[in-house]
This record gives sequence, C-alpha cells and structure tokens, in this order.
Amino acid sequence: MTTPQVGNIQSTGILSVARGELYSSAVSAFELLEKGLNGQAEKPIHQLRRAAFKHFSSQGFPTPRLEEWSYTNLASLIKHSLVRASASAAPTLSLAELEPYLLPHACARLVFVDGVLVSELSHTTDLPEGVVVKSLSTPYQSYQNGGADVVSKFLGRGADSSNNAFIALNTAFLEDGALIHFGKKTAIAAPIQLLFVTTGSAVKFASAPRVLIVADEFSQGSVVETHLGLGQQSYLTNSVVEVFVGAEAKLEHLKLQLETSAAYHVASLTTELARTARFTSTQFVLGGLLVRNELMPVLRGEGADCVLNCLSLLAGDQHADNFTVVDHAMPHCESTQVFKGVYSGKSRGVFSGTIVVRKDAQKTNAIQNNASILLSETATVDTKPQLKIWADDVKCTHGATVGQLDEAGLFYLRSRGIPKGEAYRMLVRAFSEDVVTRVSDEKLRSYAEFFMMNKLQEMHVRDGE
Amino acid sequence: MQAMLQIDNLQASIEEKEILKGINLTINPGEVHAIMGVNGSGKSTLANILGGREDYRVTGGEVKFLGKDLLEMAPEVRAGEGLFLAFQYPVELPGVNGMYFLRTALNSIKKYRGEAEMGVRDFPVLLKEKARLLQLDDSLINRSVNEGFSGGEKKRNEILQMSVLEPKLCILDETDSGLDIDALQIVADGVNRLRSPERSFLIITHYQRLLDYIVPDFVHVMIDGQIVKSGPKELALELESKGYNWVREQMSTVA
Repeated sequence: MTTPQVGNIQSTGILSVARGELYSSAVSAFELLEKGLNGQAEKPIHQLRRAAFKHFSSQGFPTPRLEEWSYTNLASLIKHSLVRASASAAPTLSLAELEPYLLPHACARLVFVDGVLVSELSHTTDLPEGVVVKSLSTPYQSYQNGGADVVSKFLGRGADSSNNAFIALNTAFLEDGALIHFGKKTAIAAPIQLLFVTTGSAVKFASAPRVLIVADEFSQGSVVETHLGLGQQSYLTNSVVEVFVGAEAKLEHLKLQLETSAAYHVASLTTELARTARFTSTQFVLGGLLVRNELMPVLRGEGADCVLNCLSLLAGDQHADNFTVVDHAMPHCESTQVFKGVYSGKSRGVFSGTIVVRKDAQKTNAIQNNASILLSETATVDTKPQLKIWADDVKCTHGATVGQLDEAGLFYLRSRGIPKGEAYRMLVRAFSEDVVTRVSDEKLRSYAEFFMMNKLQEMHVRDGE
Repeated sequence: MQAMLQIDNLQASIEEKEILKGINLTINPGEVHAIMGVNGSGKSTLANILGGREDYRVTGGEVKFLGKDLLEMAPEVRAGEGLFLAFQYPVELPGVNGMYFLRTALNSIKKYRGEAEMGVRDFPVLLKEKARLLQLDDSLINRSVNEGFSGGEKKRNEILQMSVLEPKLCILDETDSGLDIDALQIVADGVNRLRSPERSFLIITHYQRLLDYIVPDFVHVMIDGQIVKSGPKELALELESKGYNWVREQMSTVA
C-alpha cells in the first residue's frame, strides 16, 4: 500500500497555477529584501527564506483547477500589486485605540501593527519562569531544550513551503513574528494574546504574521490570536502559525478573525502533537472579504487528542473557505472537528475537511461535523468531507447538515415578547453553543462572544430583516 | 367597559383553503371562554392567528385587543400588549437556556411597556417561586427550553411562562392534549391561580375534561370554521354526553 500524499498540489495543467500582479510584486519585494541584507544572507533564517521563495516562485498561486482550491478563486486577490510591510512605515497606534480588542486578563501580549512588533503596546513581564513570549527575530536558547535554539529547531518544521504557496510566501518574507515557549511543566493562569493590526493606511499592503508556539512536556498554555483591520484599503494577511505540543502537554488556542470587509486573509495553522498531547483550537471567522483558513494538525504521538472548533459568521459578499487535514499518524489518537457556519446576504461558506488515518494509526477515533445555516436565498455553502484511511481498526464519522433558521423557534420566541432581531440572535447563538462552550476560560469566552454578537447584529441590520 | 378581545366576522385561509368563515366572539376582562370543536374545525387556526403566526392569510373581518387592531401587530408587540399563547406543541430550543430565555422575554415586555427591567439577581428568585407553585422541577429551568421535556413538562413550562409574564389575555391551545390526569390537574391549578377580574382566558380544547378543572364562564362550539353554538358552562357537559353530532343535527334542524 502506498503512503498517502497529503496536501500535495499537483501541477496538472497550465491553468492550475496563476501568477498575476501579486506574484510580480512579491518577486520584486524579495529582490529588494535580498539587496538590503548587508551580509546577513548566509544566516540560517535567510536560507529558510530563500528556499521558501524558490518554492513560491516555482509554484505560483493555486487556482480552482486544483482540487483543494476548487471552491475558492484567488483571481481578485492576485490581480493586486501589494506593498510589503516594513518597520519604517509603521504608523503609530495607542493602546486606547486598541482597547476594545485587548483581552483584559491576558498574562502577556504582543501587538503587531502592520506586521511589525510594537513593544510599547506589548507586555511580557508577568510571565512565570520558563514561559517566554518574544519576537521571533532574535534567537532564543532554552536550556530546557539542551541549550538548543528553539527557533532554529522548530521554525519551518511544521509549515512546509514545498507544497503550499502561501506558507512559502510567508516564509520567504519572514522577518518578525511571535515566539511563545512553554518550558517543561510550566503553566499560565491566563491566556497570552497576540494582536495583529492592519491599519489600512494609504497603500495596498501585505503582511505575513508568523507565530511559533512550542509547548514542552507537561506544560499547559493558552494562546489567543486576534486579527484586526482598521482602514478602508484592500490588504492581505498571510499568516502562518506553527504549533508543537509536547508529550502530556495541553495547549488551548483561540483565533478571532476581525479583518475588514476589504481584506484578504489566508492562514495556515500547523500543529504537531506528541504522545498524549492535547490541542484545542477554537476559531471565529467573522471578518474578511476572502478568507482561506487552513488547519493541519498531525497527531504524531500515541494517545494524542486534537479538537478543532470553528464558527463562521458571514454577510454581504464575504467568502470563507475553512480547510482541514487532520492527519492521524499514530495509534489511539482522537480528533474532533466541529465546523459551523451562518451565512447571510450573498456570502459563501466552504468547508473541506479531510481525515487521514495512516497505516500505523490503529484505534483512531476521529469525528468531523459540519453544520450550516443559510439566512438568505442568495447565500451558499459547499461542504466536502473526505476520509483517507489506511488502517483497518478505526472509528471515523463525519456528518454535514445545511438548513435554515428554525421558523417555529423564531415565532415561539417572538410570541413571548422577544423582538425579532433579538430572537434571531438567540437562535444563532444557540446554534453556535457547542463551539463557544469549548472555550474553557470564561473571560476568554465572553471576549469572543462579544465580537460574535456584534457580528450577528451587523448581519441582521445589513440584511434588512 | 372595554372588551378584552373583540373578534368581528374573522375570515382566514391557508393555501387558498378557507378555514375560518366569519368568527364573532367578545371576551370581557375576567371572563373565561372555552372553544370546543373537533379536529379540523378551525379552532387551532383561530388560536394561531390571534398569536400572530404568519402562515395564515386573513381574508376578512377584524380583531380588537383592548381596543387596538390586533392583526396589525407583530407577535412580540402582541406579547407586549399583554397577549399570551400557550402552544399546543411548545417548540424545543436546543442551546437556548430556559432561565435566560424567560428573563429576556420578561424584560422585553417590560421594556415595551416602559417599565424597569428585572435584574439578573432578582429574576431567579421570582422564577423559583413561580416554579414552586406549579410543582415544576427547578432543574428544568436551567436546561435548554423544552429540549427533551416530556409532554407534561412542556405544558407546565408554558404555564410557568404565563405566570411569569402575567399577560392580560391567555389563549390556551389544546393545553390538555397529551397530559395525564396528574399533569392536567397541575396545569389547571396553575391557570386557576392566575384567574383574576382583570385577566381573561380563551381555552381551546377538544375534550370537556379540562373544563372540569378550569370552569369556564362561556362555552362556544366551533364547527367548520364557525361558532355555531354558545352557552354557559353546562354546554360543555351536554356536548360531552351527546357528542358533536348533536350540535350538527340541531344546526340542520334550524336550517
């Protein structure tokens, strides 16, 4: 039996690859980057960049001809010529301006404005010993890792540039980013927040946030990723988050995506889980014009447990493509995927979820569930579950439902005096319940819920119901 | 005295089929009216139209609720004005917490009336007391609305909502259906406790049984979309012993 090939983009014809203005602007930006290196070109990080750029330039951008992109057309993105984020041009923002988006009880926070870490807006002083939150741009030796540099050990190990144009592009321009390291047996009392703000000033602009999270054995951590746009201009956020959860470690991840309605947001989350590691990611896809959200965990140690939850609330012309590949490589692992979406206006939701169970991964228990509600006749949803199973003693289930908001329920609530708008929000909120309740930290849950309810309000007003 | 509810020649259809063929009914404050009829007579259609369900098309006539045009009002406005419909089939709302739901309902109505809303702390106290009176298990309130409730629990939950929202006009649509005798008694006790000179009831039922416990002031018999006979509470007993055909025969004699 052959080994399954996962995530490979096969060049089947000329139309499966597109280049466009975005490609040309990326090529010139990379040339510019190399010119400005001043003798830093031999550093390992630039070797990584260069290799990634090579992959990018040979791949170009995917088109709907590729099976994995069949529901998402990037034509409107790649026609843009975008300017790369750079430190010198970073505009100033005050903490007060960001107040609504700050997680108040965060034990540490890094704020990136237009791709650049702004230390005045960040704080990392309250962290317990053994937990490190810092910029990716400088090396970090951890004695717990035998003095090895955590960055060079892990960076790029999970996010593979060779078959993913956006990971390649992100890596090619890797400059700044966040490193979070939970040392062995460490724990934190409150989440760490990473806030990525795009100001949307005059120029069309691309940023490539990069996050590396390493949780060593027996550690427990929680990381919140907030993506936010403030201006009117189109921009691209091309984010890559690499997570490594060590043996017996437990990591909670929450992503709140609040980009503007002119934004392109492409994100890859790769996670490697070691023996009996636990990883839970809860994602709220609320913003963006065109969104591609890839989640690709690999359960690489026995008894690992991975939970992916996602709620997409889309309105107007929004398009969000949630794409998962859950790769069971070892026996006795569990994975649960709950992807829910509520779509109004002319929005389009996509879920393509693949469960891979490799030959060695006996006794796998994998669950995938996708449920959608269409609030308008012009909203659409595409759902494509896939199972690729090479082991013979496994339990894999998947289910997909598409429906409308329960009219009888709506009438019942209204007949008790609850106005239509509120009744509608209560029902959507109830539909989202099992995603929301996965967030174990109560304050974090209400933080996410605030934006979720805001979005519902906006959807309701926009659809003029 | 202003009538609580005045229905004047109400006609309605669903998908071109005429269901109500000119209903006339006046309910004054404090009165309990019962409408009896067989399945398909249009009695539940009447309840649903009064509640504001949009599946029906009103083709003629008018309904005044405390002097205001009821048919013009959205369902939530009717509730704000003081109308309550106890559903024949209460809807299950998975994920909607019962306590939260009922507090939101009460405060929506208070807001509509320009009254002060009830706080998060005070509400559970009120709810607990009302539930105790109805012998409704407290734990049900903290669950999702009606989800997995037995038929009896759902109906009791309707009465609990009624007692919290304190409406002026309560419409009970076949509240007795699917209830055993104990549950029926609890529901009836709940309703009787709410009877007052300012509050009116319209009880829609197939069987006389419920009217043993909730004694009406007036009984109306509905056949084929019309109220064909009205009388005092004894009419229900007569109907029970002689059957609906007795009314039909009377009608044909008159004709």
